[in-house]
Amino acid sequence: MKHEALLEACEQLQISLDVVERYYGYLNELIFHLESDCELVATNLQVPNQETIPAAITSMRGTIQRELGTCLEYQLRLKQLKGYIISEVDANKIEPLLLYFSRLFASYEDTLWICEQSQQEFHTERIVHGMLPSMSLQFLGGEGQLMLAKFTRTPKNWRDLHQRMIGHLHWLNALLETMVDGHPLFYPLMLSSQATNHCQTIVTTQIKARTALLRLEDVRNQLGHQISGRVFSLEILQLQSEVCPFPIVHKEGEE
Amino acid sequence: MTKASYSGVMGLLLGFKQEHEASIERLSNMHDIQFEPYCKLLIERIQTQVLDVIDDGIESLLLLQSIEESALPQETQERLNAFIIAAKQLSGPSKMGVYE
Repeated sequence: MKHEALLEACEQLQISLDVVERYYGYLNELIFHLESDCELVATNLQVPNQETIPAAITSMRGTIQRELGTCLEYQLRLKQLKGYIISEVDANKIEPLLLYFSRLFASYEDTLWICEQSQQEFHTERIVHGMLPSMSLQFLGGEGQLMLAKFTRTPKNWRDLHQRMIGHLHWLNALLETMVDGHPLFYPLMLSSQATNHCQTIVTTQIKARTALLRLEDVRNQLGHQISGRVFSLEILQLQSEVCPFPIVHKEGEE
Repeated sequence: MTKASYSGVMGLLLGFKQEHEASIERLSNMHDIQFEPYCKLLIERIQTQVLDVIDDGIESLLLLQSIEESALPQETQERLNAFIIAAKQLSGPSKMGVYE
């Protein structure tokens, strides 16, 4: 009877770990899109403090990899534990593994309880390496996936990229809100959000420069006799030097 | 700067411009041979150090009046505002510096 109860708990934990693994996969995909969009900005436009952008995203990617690695290790150990329980080996082999999983079991129970609450609950959340906070799981399982669908199209111009940057900022900030202080993903997410904000400002400036250039041409046609001096020529030259054509992006498999 | 204050500043700058143009005219009409070199020097100074700066300020104001400020990149706004501030500063006692 005791073995059956243990096996059932292991099964539930297995399901929970599978979900976490899958959601880390979604997060990785979101990061992939964010990275390619930020790279597009950093390689084509003049970006001050350029090095901070890849550094923030690499830190995020590294943390995800480390956490996912821990999650995969749990799965492996869980298989080992299940094997021991089924083959009814010596209790001395099972006990250390049960101890190893004690915090994870507790976290699993907490997550179930938190998910049942009507309001957001951060006080009960337990920070366990390799796992995601309950609210983050809810976000990645719902809106996170919807956001992922938004990034499947290739951006065609700076306005497209601007919209994507707004999307990235949305999911980064929404995910950050679900994070518990001290979770390994908290600071990488915060840094990535700042880097994305920086990229978005640069894309906005690019769009504004293009609009301003067109408007200045209109103004020259309207007030030609009043403005033909240094300021106008200087601004036209300045804006022309800032404006950069949108690079042609080829996705893998596209011609 | 708000749109409403643009016209006020524009009036101010046009006023300065008129004053300095009048000064140039007065200086040009001085035919006393002993003052001629000084008059030439002053006219040149007014043209390069005052009128050019005021013209730049007026042009910047015209651009800001014609285009929504929010539609301009931050750096462009800052540059245009700097031209206007430089022109406005010529209204103070410092403008007299060119006559010294």
